Amino acid sequence: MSDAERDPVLRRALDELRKLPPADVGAMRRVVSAAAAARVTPFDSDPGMSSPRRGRSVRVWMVVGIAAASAFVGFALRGAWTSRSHAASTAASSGAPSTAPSIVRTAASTELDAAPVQQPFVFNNSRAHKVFVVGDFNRWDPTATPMTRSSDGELWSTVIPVVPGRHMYAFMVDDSLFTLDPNAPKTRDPDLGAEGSIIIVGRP
Amino acid sequence: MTRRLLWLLGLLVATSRVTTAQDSLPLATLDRDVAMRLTRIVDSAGSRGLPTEPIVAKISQGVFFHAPPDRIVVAAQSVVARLEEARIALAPKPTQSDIAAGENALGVDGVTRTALQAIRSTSPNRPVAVPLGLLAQLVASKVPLARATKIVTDLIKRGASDPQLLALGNNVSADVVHGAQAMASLDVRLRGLTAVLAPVAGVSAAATDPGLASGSGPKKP
Repeated sequence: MSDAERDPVLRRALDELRKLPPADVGAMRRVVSAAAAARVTPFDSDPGMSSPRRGRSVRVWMVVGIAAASAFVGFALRGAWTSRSHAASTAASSGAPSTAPSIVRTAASTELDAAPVQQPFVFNNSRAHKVFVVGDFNRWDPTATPMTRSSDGELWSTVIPVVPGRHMYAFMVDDSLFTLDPNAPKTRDPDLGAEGSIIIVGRP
Repeated sequence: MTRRLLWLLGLLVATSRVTTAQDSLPLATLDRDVAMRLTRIVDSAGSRGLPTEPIVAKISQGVFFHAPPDRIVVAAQSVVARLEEARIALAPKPTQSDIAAGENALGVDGVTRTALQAIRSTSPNRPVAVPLGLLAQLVASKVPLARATKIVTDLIKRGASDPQLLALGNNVSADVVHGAQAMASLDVRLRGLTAVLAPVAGVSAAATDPGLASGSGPKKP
Protein backbone atom coordinates (compact mmCIF):
# COMPACT_ATOMS: atom_id res chain seq x y z
CA MET A 1 0.00 0.00 0.00
CA SER A 2 1.41 3.40 -0.95
CA ASP A 3 1.64 6.46 1.29
CA ALA A 4 -1.19 8.05 -0.54
CA GLU A 5 -3.43 5.07 0.07
CA ARG A 6 -2.57 4.92 3.80
CA ASP A 7 -3.91 8.43 4.34
CA PRO A 8 -7.64 7.97 5.09
CA VAL A 9 -8.71 11.17 3.42
CA LEU A 10 -6.62 10.55 0.33
CA ARG A 11 -7.92 7.00 0.28
CA ARG A 12 -11.47 8.31 0.16
CA ALA A 13 -10.52 10.57 -2.72
CA LEU A 14 -8.91 7.63 -4.50
CA ASP A 15 -12.02 5.54 -3.88
CA GLU A 16 -14.07 8.28 -5.50
CA LEU A 17 -11.70 8.34 -8.45
CA ARG A 18 -11.97 4.58 -8.85
CA LYS A 19 -15.75 4.86 -9.26
CA LEU A 20 -15.34 6.93 -12.41
CA PRO A 21 -15.69 5.45 -15.90
CA PRO A 22 -12.39 4.01 -17.08
CA ALA A 23 -11.58 6.83 -19.46
CA ASP A 24 -8.22 8.60 -19.53
CA VAL A 25 -6.70 6.59 -16.74
CA GLY A 26 -3.35 8.21 -17.46
CA ALA A 27 -4.72 11.63 -16.56
CA MET A 28 -6.10 10.31 -13.28
CA ARG A 29 -2.78 8.68 -12.44
CA ARG A 30 -1.01 11.94 -13.11
CA VAL A 31 -3.40 13.81 -10.80
CA VAL A 32 -2.98 11.28 -7.99
CA SER A 33 0.81 11.09 -8.41
CA ALA A 34 1.13 14.86 -8.41
CA ALA A 35 -1.04 15.10 -5.32
CA ALA A 36 0.93 12.41 -3.51
CA ALA A 37 4.22 14.04 -4.45
CA ALA A 38 3.00 17.42 -3.28
CA ARG A 39 1.81 16.15 0.10
CA VAL A 40 3.09 18.30 2.92
CA THR A 41 4.04 16.65 6.19
CA PRO A 42 5.30 18.10 9.47
CA PHE A 43 8.73 16.78 8.51
CA ASP A 44 9.13 18.90 5.45
CA SER A 45 12.14 21.10 5.56
CA ASP A 46 10.32 24.24 4.47
CA PRO A 47 10.16 26.37 7.61
CA GLY A 48 6.93 27.88 6.46
CA MET A 49 5.41 24.43 6.42
CA SER A 50 6.98 23.15 9.60
CA SER A 51 3.93 23.65 11.76
CA PRO A 52 1.80 20.51 11.83
CA ARG A 53 -1.27 22.67 11.90
CA ARG A 54 -0.14 24.49 8.78
CA GLY A 55 0.81 21.21 7.11
CA ARG A 56 -2.56 19.75 7.88
CA SER A 57 -4.30 22.82 6.52
CA VAL A 58 -2.38 22.57 3.27
CA ARG A 59 -3.08 18.85 3.09
CA VAL A 60 -6.79 19.46 3.62
CA TRP A 61 -6.77 22.00 0.81
CA MET A 62 -4.85 19.54 -1.34
CA VAL A 63 -7.49 16.90 -0.70
CA VAL A 64 -10.24 19.39 -1.40
CA GLY A 65 -8.46 20.18 -4.64
CA ILE A 66 -8.19 16.52 -5.56
CA ALA A 67 -11.84 15.98 -4.67
CA ALA A 68 -12.84 18.97 -6.80
CA ALA A 69 -10.68 17.76 -9.67
CA SER A 70 -12.10 14.26 -9.38
CA ALA A 71 -15.63 15.62 -9.25
CA PHE A 72 -14.94 17.74 -12.34
CA VAL A 73 -13.40 14.84 -14.22
CA GLY A 74 -16.24 12.63 -13.07
CA PHE A 75 -18.93 15.01 -14.24
CA ALA A 76 -17.17 15.56 -17.53
CA LEU A 77 -16.76 11.86 -18.17
CA ARG A 78 -20.23 11.05 -16.93
CA GLY A 79 -21.71 13.77 -19.15
CA ALA A 80 -19.82 12.49 -22.15
CA TRP A 81 -20.85 8.97 -21.29
CA THR A 82 -24.49 9.91 -20.76
CA SER A 83 -24.74 11.90 -23.99
CA ARG A 84 -23.04 9.09 -25.84
CA SER A 85 -25.48 6.58 -24.38
CA HIS A 86 -28.37 8.89 -25.20
CA ALA A 87 -27.16 9.29 -28.78
CA ALA A 88 -26.73 5.54 -29.03
CA SER A 89 -30.22 4.86 -27.73
CA THR A 90 -31.69 7.51 -30.00
CA ALA A 91 -29.89 6.07 -32.98
CA ALA A 92 -31.05 2.61 -32.00
CA SER A 93 -34.65 3.73 -31.65
CA SER A 94 -34.54 5.38 -35.06
CA GLY A 95 -33.33 2.20 -36.61
CA ALA A 96 -29.82 3.42 -37.30
CA PRO A 97 -26.80 1.33 -36.37
CA SER A 98 -25.74 2.12 -32.83
CA THR A 99 -22.03 1.68 -33.24
CA ALA A 100 -19.64 4.23 -31.84
CA PRO A 101 -18.27 5.27 -35.25
CA SER A 102 -21.75 6.16 -36.45
CA ILE A 103 -22.28 8.37 -33.40
CA VAL A 104 -19.01 10.13 -34.01
CA ARG A 105 -19.89 10.51 -37.66
CA THR A 106 -23.32 11.99 -36.80
CA ALA A 107 -21.79 14.52 -34.43
CA ALA A 108 -19.13 15.47 -36.94
CA SER A 109 -21.60 15.77 -39.80
CA THR A 110 -23.94 17.86 -37.65
CA GLU A 111 -21.18 20.38 -37.01
CA LEU A 112 -20.21 20.28 -40.66
CA ASP A 113 -23.77 20.81 -41.84
CA ALA A 114 -24.16 23.90 -39.68
CA ALA A 115 -20.85 25.43 -40.78
CA PRO A 116 -20.83 28.25 -43.34
CA VAL A 117 -20.82 27.24 -47.00
CA GLN A 118 -18.89 29.02 -49.74
CA GLN A 119 -21.78 30.54 -51.68
CA PRO A 120 -21.29 32.17 -55.08
CA PHE A 121 -23.27 35.25 -56.10
CA VAL A 122 -23.39 36.36 -59.72
CA PHE A 123 -24.87 39.54 -61.14
CA ASN A 124 -25.11 40.59 -64.79
CA ASN A 125 -24.53 44.28 -65.37
CA SER A 126 -22.06 45.55 -67.95
CA ARG A 127 -22.64 49.24 -67.18
CA ALA A 128 -21.91 49.16 -63.45
CA HIS A 129 -18.66 50.55 -62.12
CA LYS A 130 -18.80 48.69 -58.85
CA VAL A 131 -21.18 46.19 -57.32
CA PHE A 132 -21.54 44.92 -53.78
CA VAL A 133 -23.75 42.15 -52.46
CA VAL A 134 -25.71 42.96 -49.30
CA GLY A 135 -27.83 40.65 -47.20
CA ASP A 136 -28.57 39.26 -43.79
CA PHE A 137 -25.36 37.20 -44.03
CA ASN A 138 -23.21 40.36 -44.00
CA ARG A 139 -25.59 42.42 -41.88
CA TRP A 140 -26.62 44.52 -44.84
CA ASP A 141 -23.25 46.22 -44.87
CA PRO A 142 -23.03 47.94 -48.29
CA THR A 143 -19.24 47.95 -48.21
CA ALA A 144 -18.54 44.50 -46.80
CA THR A 145 -18.70 42.30 -49.89
CA PRO A 146 -17.43 43.76 -53.17
CA MET A 147 -17.99 41.76 -56.35
CA THR A 148 -15.36 41.21 -59.02
CA ARG A 149 -15.95 42.03 -62.66
CA SER A 150 -15.36 39.28 -65.21
CA SER A 151 -12.78 39.80 -67.95
CA ASP A 152 -15.49 40.40 -70.57
CA GLY A 153 -17.05 43.07 -68.34
CA GLU A 154 -20.51 41.49 -68.27
CA LEU A 155 -20.66 39.59 -65.02
CA TRP A 156 -19.94 40.47 -61.44
CA SER A 157 -19.28 37.67 -59.00
CA THR A 158 -18.12 36.85 -55.51
CA VAL A 159 -17.97 33.80 -53.27
CA ILE A 160 -18.57 34.28 -49.55
CA PRO A 161 -19.22 32.04 -46.54
CA VAL A 162 -22.93 31.84 -45.68
CA VAL A 163 -24.53 29.60 -43.05
CA PRO A 164 -27.05 27.07 -44.39
CA GLY A 165 -30.63 28.29 -44.52
CA ARG A 166 -32.82 30.75 -46.35
CA HIS A 167 -31.36 34.20 -46.84
CA MET A 168 -32.45 37.58 -48.15
CA TYR A 169 -30.08 39.66 -50.21
CA ALA A 170 -29.69 42.23 -52.99
CA PHE A 171 -27.00 44.03 -54.98
CA MET A 172 -25.78 47.58 -54.49
CA VAL A 173 -24.77 49.05 -57.85
CA ASP A 174 -22.45 52.07 -57.91
CA ASP A 175 -23.02 52.74 -54.20
CA SER A 176 -26.60 53.81 -54.55
CA LEU A 177 -28.77 51.59 -56.71
CA PHE A 178 -30.43 48.85 -54.71
CA THR A 179 -31.10 46.03 -57.19
CA LEU A 180 -32.78 42.67 -56.72
CA ASP A 181 -31.35 39.53 -58.33
CA PRO A 182 -33.35 38.97 -61.53
CA ASN A 183 -32.58 35.24 -61.34
CA ALA A 184 -33.87 34.66 -57.82
CA PRO A 185 -37.31 34.78 -56.24
CA LYS A 186 -38.09 37.94 -54.36
CA THR A 187 -39.85 38.38 -51.07
CA ARG A 188 -41.05 41.12 -48.79
CA ASP A 189 -39.54 41.27 -45.33
CA PRO A 190 -42.23 40.43 -42.77
CA ASP A 191 -41.11 43.09 -40.29
CA LEU A 192 -39.80 45.99 -42.33
CA GLY A 193 -41.68 45.55 -45.58
CA ALA A 194 -38.56 45.88 -47.71
CA GLU A 195 -38.12 43.69 -50.76
CA GLY A 196 -35.18 41.38 -51.28
CA SER A 197 -34.07 38.38 -53.26
CA ILE A 198 -34.12 34.94 -51.67
CA ILE A 199 -31.62 32.12 -51.76
CA ILE A 200 -31.56 28.80 -49.92
CA VAL A 201 -28.02 27.91 -48.95
CA GLY A 202 -26.77 24.45 -48.08
CA ARG A 203 -23.85 22.14 -48.51
CA PRO A 204 -23.56 21.18 -52.20
CA MET B 1 -6.76 41.64 -2.35
CA THR B 2 -8.39 38.61 -3.91
CA ARG B 3 -11.80 40.21 -3.61
CA ARG B 4 -10.56 43.35 -5.33
CA LEU B 5 -9.01 41.25 -8.09
CA LEU B 6 -12.26 39.36 -8.59
CA TRP B 7 -14.20 42.62 -8.67
CA LEU B 8 -11.88 44.02 -11.32
CA LEU B 9 -12.13 40.80 -13.32
CA GLY B 10 -15.92 40.93 -13.13
CA LEU B 11 -15.92 44.54 -14.25
CA LEU B 12 -13.63 43.67 -17.15
CA VAL B 13 -15.86 40.80 -18.28
CA ALA B 14 -19.03 42.89 -17.96
CA THR B 15 -17.48 45.80 -19.86
CA SER B 16 -16.16 43.62 -22.64
CA ARG B 17 -19.57 41.95 -23.00
CA VAL B 18 -21.40 45.26 -23.36
CA THR B 19 -18.73 46.58 -25.70
CA THR B 20 -18.98 43.48 -27.87
CA ALA B 21 -22.76 43.69 -28.10
CA GLN B 22 -22.69 47.37 -28.95
CA ASP B 23 -19.89 46.99 -31.45
CA SER B 24 -21.88 44.40 -33.35
CA LEU B 25 -24.87 46.71 -33.67
CA PRO B 26 -25.09 49.51 -36.24
CA LEU B 27 -26.12 52.03 -33.61
CA ALA B 28 -24.25 55.07 -34.87
CA THR B 29 -27.19 56.46 -36.82
CA LEU B 30 -29.75 55.84 -34.09
CA ASP B 31 -30.50 58.05 -31.11
CA ARG B 32 -29.29 57.06 -27.69
CA ASP B 33 -32.65 55.82 -26.39
CA VAL B 34 -33.31 53.56 -29.38
CA ALA B 35 -29.73 52.31 -29.30
CA MET B 36 -30.10 51.36 -25.65
CA ARG B 37 -33.41 49.62 -26.25
CA LEU B 38 -31.94 47.61 -29.12
CA THR B 39 -28.86 46.72 -27.09
CA ARG B 40 -31.08 45.49 -24.27
CA ILE B 41 -33.13 43.37 -26.70
CA VAL B 42 -30.00 41.73 -28.12
CA ASP B 43 -28.38 41.21 -24.71
CA SER B 44 -31.56 39.80 -23.22
CA ALA B 45 -31.98 37.33 -26.08
CA GLY B 46 -28.34 36.29 -25.82
CA SER B 47 -28.61 35.74 -22.09
CA ARG B 48 -31.57 33.43 -22.73
CA GLY B 49 -29.50 31.34 -25.10
CA LEU B 50 -31.10 32.55 -28.31
CA PRO B 51 -28.94 33.24 -31.37
CA THR B 52 -28.41 36.99 -31.63
CA GLU B 53 -27.23 37.12 -35.22
CA PRO B 54 -30.76 37.19 -36.73
CA ILE B 55 -31.66 40.09 -34.42
CA VAL B 56 -28.52 42.02 -35.29
CA ALA B 57 -29.12 41.32 -38.99
CA LYS B 58 -32.69 42.62 -38.70
CA ILE B 59 -31.55 45.79 -36.94
CA SER B 60 -28.86 46.26 -39.59
CA GLN B 61 -31.46 45.76 -42.30
CA GLY B 62 -33.68 48.41 -40.69
CA VAL B 63 -30.77 50.85 -40.58
CA PHE B 64 -29.83 50.00 -44.17
CA PHE B 65 -33.36 50.75 -45.38
CA HIS B 66 -33.66 53.86 -43.18
CA ALA B 67 -36.67 52.40 -41.38
CA PRO B 68 -38.18 54.50 -38.59
CA PRO B 69 -36.43 53.73 -35.27
CA ASP B 70 -39.57 52.51 -33.55
CA ARG B 71 -40.22 50.13 -36.39
CA ILE B 72 -36.70 48.73 -36.05
CA VAL B 73 -37.33 48.11 -32.36
CA VAL B 74 -40.61 46.34 -33.11
CA ALA B 75 -38.91 44.31 -35.84
CA ALA B 76 -36.16 43.24 -33.44
CA GLN B 77 -38.78 42.24 -30.86
CA SER B 78 -40.65 40.24 -33.50
CA VAL B 79 -37.48 38.36 -34.39
CA VAL B 80 -36.93 37.52 -30.73
CA ALA B 81 -40.51 36.24 -30.44
CA ARG B 82 -40.05 34.03 -33.51
CA LEU B 83 -36.71 32.77 -32.21
CA GLU B 84 -38.41 31.75 -28.95
CA GLU B 85 -41.20 30.03 -30.85
CA ALA B 86 -38.74 28.24 -33.13
CA ARG B 87 -36.70 27.03 -30.17
CA ILE B 88 -39.82 25.55 -28.59
CA ALA B 89 -40.95 23.97 -31.85
CA LEU B 90 -37.54 22.45 -32.56
CA ALA B 91 -36.99 21.10 -29.04
CA PRO B 92 -35.37 19.29 -27.34
CA LYS B 93 -31.89 20.26 -28.57
CA PRO B 94 -32.02 22.67 -31.48
CA THR B 95 -28.74 24.14 -32.68
CA GLN B 96 -28.37 27.88 -33.04
CA SER B 97 -28.60 27.57 -36.82
CA ASP B 98 -31.76 25.44 -36.48
CA ILE B 99 -33.37 28.13 -34.33
CA ALA B 100 -32.31 30.83 -36.80
CA ALA B 101 -33.73 28.82 -39.71
CA GLY B 102 -36.94 28.22 -37.76
CA GLU B 103 -37.23 31.93 -37.10
CA ASN B 104 -36.79 32.66 -40.79
CA ALA B 105 -39.43 30.09 -41.72
CA LEU B 106 -41.90 31.47 -39.17
CA GLY B 107 -41.42 34.87 -40.79
CA VAL B 108 -43.04 33.54 -43.97
CA ASP B 109 -46.75 34.16 -43.95
CA GLY B 110 -48.54 30.87 -43.28
CA VAL B 111 -45.71 28.83 -41.75
CA THR B 112 -46.64 27.61 -38.28
CA ARG B 113 -44.96 26.12 -35.24
CA THR B 114 -46.73 22.84 -35.99
CA ALA B 115 -45.01 22.62 -39.36
CA LEU B 116 -41.64 23.13 -37.70
CA GLN B 117 -42.47 20.42 -35.16
CA ALA B 118 -43.39 18.03 -37.98
CA ILE B 119 -40.01 18.54 -39.62
CA ARG B 120 -38.14 18.22 -36.34
CA SER B 121 -39.92 14.98 -35.45
CA THR B 122 -39.07 13.59 -38.88
CA SER B 123 -35.43 14.60 -38.53
CA PRO B 124 -34.69 14.61 -34.79
CA ASN B 125 -30.92 14.24 -34.95
CA ARG B 126 -29.97 16.25 -38.00
CA PRO B 127 -29.70 19.97 -38.68
CA VAL B 128 -32.93 21.20 -40.23
CA ALA B 129 -31.83 24.54 -41.66
CA VAL B 130 -32.13 23.34 -45.27
CA PRO B 131 -35.47 21.47 -44.85
CA LEU B 132 -36.89 24.53 -43.09
CA GLY B 133 -35.55 26.76 -45.85
CA LEU B 134 -37.25 24.56 -48.44
CA LEU B 135 -40.50 24.55 -46.49
CA ALA B 136 -40.42 28.34 -46.16
CA GLN B 137 -39.65 28.81 -49.84
CA LEU B 138 -42.41 26.45 -50.98
CA VAL B 139 -44.94 28.23 -48.81
CA ALA B 140 -43.66 31.60 -49.98
CA SER B 141 -44.18 30.32 -53.55
CA LYS B 142 -47.87 29.73 -52.71
CA VAL B 143 -47.69 25.99 -52.07
CA PRO B 144 -50.24 25.31 -49.29
CA LEU B 145 -48.57 24.75 -45.92
CA ALA B 146 -49.96 21.26 -45.29
CA ARG B 147 -48.84 20.10 -48.71
CA ALA B 148 -45.43 21.71 -48.43
CA THR B 149 -44.90 20.17 -44.98
CA LYS B 150 -45.88 16.72 -46.24
CA ILE B 151 -43.61 16.98 -49.24
CA VAL B 152 -40.62 17.98 -47.12
CA THR B 153 -41.21 15.38 -44.40
CA ASP B 154 -41.80 12.60 -46.94
CA LEU B 155 -38.63 13.53 -48.80
CA ILE B 156 -36.66 13.39 -45.54
CA LYS B 157 -38.18 9.99 -44.72
CA ARG B 158 -37.19 8.75 -48.14
CA GLY B 159 -33.63 9.77 -47.50
CA ALA B 160 -33.36 12.92 -49.56
CA SER B 161 -30.10 14.66 -48.72
CA ASP B 162 -29.72 18.35 -47.96
CA PRO B 163 -28.20 19.01 -51.41
CA GLN B 164 -31.22 17.33 -53.02
CA LEU B 165 -33.65 19.39 -50.95
CA LEU B 166 -31.60 22.46 -51.70
CA ALA B 167 -31.67 21.77 -55.44
CA LEU B 168 -35.43 21.21 -55.34
CA GLY B 169 -36.06 24.51 -53.58
CA ASN B 170 -33.77 26.55 -55.78
CA ASN B 171 -34.97 24.87 -59.00
CA VAL B 172 -38.61 25.54 -58.17
CA SER B 173 -37.68 29.11 -57.28
CA ALA B 174 -35.86 29.55 -60.59
CA ASP B 175 -38.83 28.11 -62.51
CA VAL B 176 -41.17 30.52 -60.74
CA VAL B 177 -38.87 33.44 -61.52
CA HIS B 178 -39.05 32.45 -65.18
CA GLY B 179 -42.81 32.40 -65.17
CA ALA B 180 -43.80 28.87 -64.16
CA GLN B 181 -46.51 28.11 -61.63
CA ALA B 182 -45.00 26.86 -58.36
CA MET B 183 -47.19 23.75 -58.25
CA ALA B 184 -46.47 22.81 -61.86
CA SER B 185 -42.75 23.27 -61.33
CA LEU B 186 -42.94 21.25 -58.12
CA ASP B 187 -44.62 18.36 -59.96
CA VAL B 188 -41.85 18.20 -62.53
CA ARG B 189 -38.98 18.70 -60.10
CA LEU B 190 -40.38 16.16 -57.65
CA ARG B 191 -40.61 13.52 -60.36
CA GLY B 192 -36.96 14.03 -61.13
CA LEU B 193 -35.95 13.86 -57.49
CA THR B 194 -38.04 10.88 -56.43
CA ALA B 195 -36.83 8.88 -59.39
CA VAL B 196 -33.47 8.65 -57.65
CA LEU B 197 -34.81 8.12 -54.11
CA ALA B 198 -35.39 4.66 -52.74
CA PRO B 199 -38.99 3.93 -51.75
CA VAL B 200 -39.46 3.44 -48.02
CA ALA B 201 -42.18 1.26 -46.57
CA GLY B 202 -44.80 3.21 -44.67
CA VAL B 203 -44.05 6.49 -46.42
CA SER B 204 -46.63 7.67 -48.87
CA ALA B 205 -45.11 8.31 -52.25
CA ALA B 206 -45.65 12.03 -51.98
CA ALA B 207 -43.00 12.97 -54.40
CA THR B 208 -43.85 10.32 -56.97
CA ASP B 209 -47.47 11.29 -56.90
CA PRO B 210 -47.92 14.30 -59.13
CA GLY B 211 -51.36 14.74 -57.69
CA LEU B 212 -49.94 15.42 -54.27
CA ALA B 213 -48.07 18.41 -55.51
CA SER B 214 -50.67 19.67 -57.91
CA GLY B 215 -53.71 18.72 -55.88
CA SER B 216 -55.37 17.27 -58.96
CA GLY B 217 -54.52 13.60 -58.56
CA PRO B 218 -56.32 10.81 -56.79
CA LYS B 219 -56.63 11.13 -53.03
CA LYS B 220 -54.52 8.91 -50.83
CA PRO B 221 -56.30 6.83 -48.21
